[in-house]
Amino acid sequence: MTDDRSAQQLPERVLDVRDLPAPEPFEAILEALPTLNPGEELLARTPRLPRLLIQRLRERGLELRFWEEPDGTGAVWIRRPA
Amino acid sequence: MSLPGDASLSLDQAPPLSIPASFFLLAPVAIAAAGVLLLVLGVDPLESGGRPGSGALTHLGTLGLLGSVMLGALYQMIPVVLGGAVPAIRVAHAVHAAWTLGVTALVAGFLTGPGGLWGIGGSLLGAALVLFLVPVGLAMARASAQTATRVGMGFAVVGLLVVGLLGLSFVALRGAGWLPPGYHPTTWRIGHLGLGLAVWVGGLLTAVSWQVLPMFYLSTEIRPAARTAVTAAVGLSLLGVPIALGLGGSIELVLALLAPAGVAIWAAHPALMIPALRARRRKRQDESLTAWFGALVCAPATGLCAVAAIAWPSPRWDVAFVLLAVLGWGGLALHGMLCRVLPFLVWFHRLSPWIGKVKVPPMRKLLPQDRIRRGVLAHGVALGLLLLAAGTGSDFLARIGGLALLVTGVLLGANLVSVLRVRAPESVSP
Repeated sequence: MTDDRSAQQLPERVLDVRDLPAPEPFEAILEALPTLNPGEELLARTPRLPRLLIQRLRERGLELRFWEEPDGTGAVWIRRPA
Repeated sequence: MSLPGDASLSLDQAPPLSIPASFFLLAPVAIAAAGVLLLVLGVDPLESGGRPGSGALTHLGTLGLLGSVMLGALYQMIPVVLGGAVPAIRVAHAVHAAWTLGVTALVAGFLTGPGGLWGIGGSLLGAALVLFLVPVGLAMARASAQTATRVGMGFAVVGLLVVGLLGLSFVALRGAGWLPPGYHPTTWRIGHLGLGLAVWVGGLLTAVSWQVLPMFYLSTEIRPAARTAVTAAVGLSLLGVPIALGLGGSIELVLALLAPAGVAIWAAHPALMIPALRARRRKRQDESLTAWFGALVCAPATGLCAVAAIAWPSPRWDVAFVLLAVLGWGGLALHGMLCRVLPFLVWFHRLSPWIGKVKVPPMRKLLPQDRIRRGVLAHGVALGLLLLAAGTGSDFLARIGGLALLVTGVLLGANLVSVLRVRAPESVSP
């Protein structure tokens, strides 16, 4: 939940859904979750900060960090606990 | 840079689906009822704003169609856009009941003449307003977001309060048979209608459009200075008109004070949004967007009709203005919004917890495009026929227009119900 991005290395897996209308970014990110192995990370780039998606990700017990970029787009870092 | 507070993400802040959905479902009922009225009454209510049937039709449109959807939309949008829950959200069910019965009684009162139904309708609508405005006002006052959307929504809600008080004063004064000093019925009616359309409806539509259109259609963002200017113009009218009415100002003064909001929502807003939508990043065919385009094209026509009604006073211009504003600009925008937002809410509440676990349909499959197209087409045909009927005085066109309106209500209602019938998968727990 912090904005300490400088301390984070970008994950190998990046899902860029900034060019999709709502709720397709939401759908694409949730559909990618089953392929995320324990300990693996995913960075999702979204058109804006996805408040409702974050609710759903929390319900699934995932580790999350999220922030808004200067251009108004969003980023969600997701890690499945080992 | 992170979200403003963890509490804003709590699921229990979002209202249950039943709250916005119950308000949204009133819209097709109001459209169909207006269609039945026109089928029965013919062109009479379209010949002058002073006919009993025209008051009934206007309030079916402003309260039954526009007001119902906007109340439901505010309950839904405040937590999502402003990040604050509406307290005592279950009170919304009481608001829904009082609102529905109040609109029904008021419309019946217009048709049957001044009497008990007016008082019952006014009392129920007054109760609905209090029960709506207190919790919503509290939620908006607590919200941390400082954006043109929040300010615009705030102006709209204050506008609703002023419009409601003016409307209730008409009911009370008719009952009392006493007129306060400085009360000019025509001027107050213009203030009531003008603030209702330009500030309550216009303020909310513009505020919501800054958020919803980029989100759902990937339209380009509107410059903050332009959003601020539109919002400020709406605020100027909201401030000026009640003061002018309170001080016994003339019709000319009230109209001049309504002009900033009118120019902002019927000229500046479409001039900003049409290019932004045309420049959207993905140009996928979407019939809900067609309805939005229709609304944005009706906006300048509404403004021109208002100017014509002032320059060349005629009941026909007045009726054309109300038709364009309520059924065209406001009605089409909300028709489009309903066909996009209700599938989204059903998908979010019932299907999204299952994504990645079992196969669920994507949101765009919940309401097929051809079904939306039929509803929007019937809506456009009804508007065109009723404008022609108002212009020509044709009884036949008025009744055919009424039939088209009834079909619009049935198609929109069937679309919304079909979406609400989508259920969550039942085989495994989410």
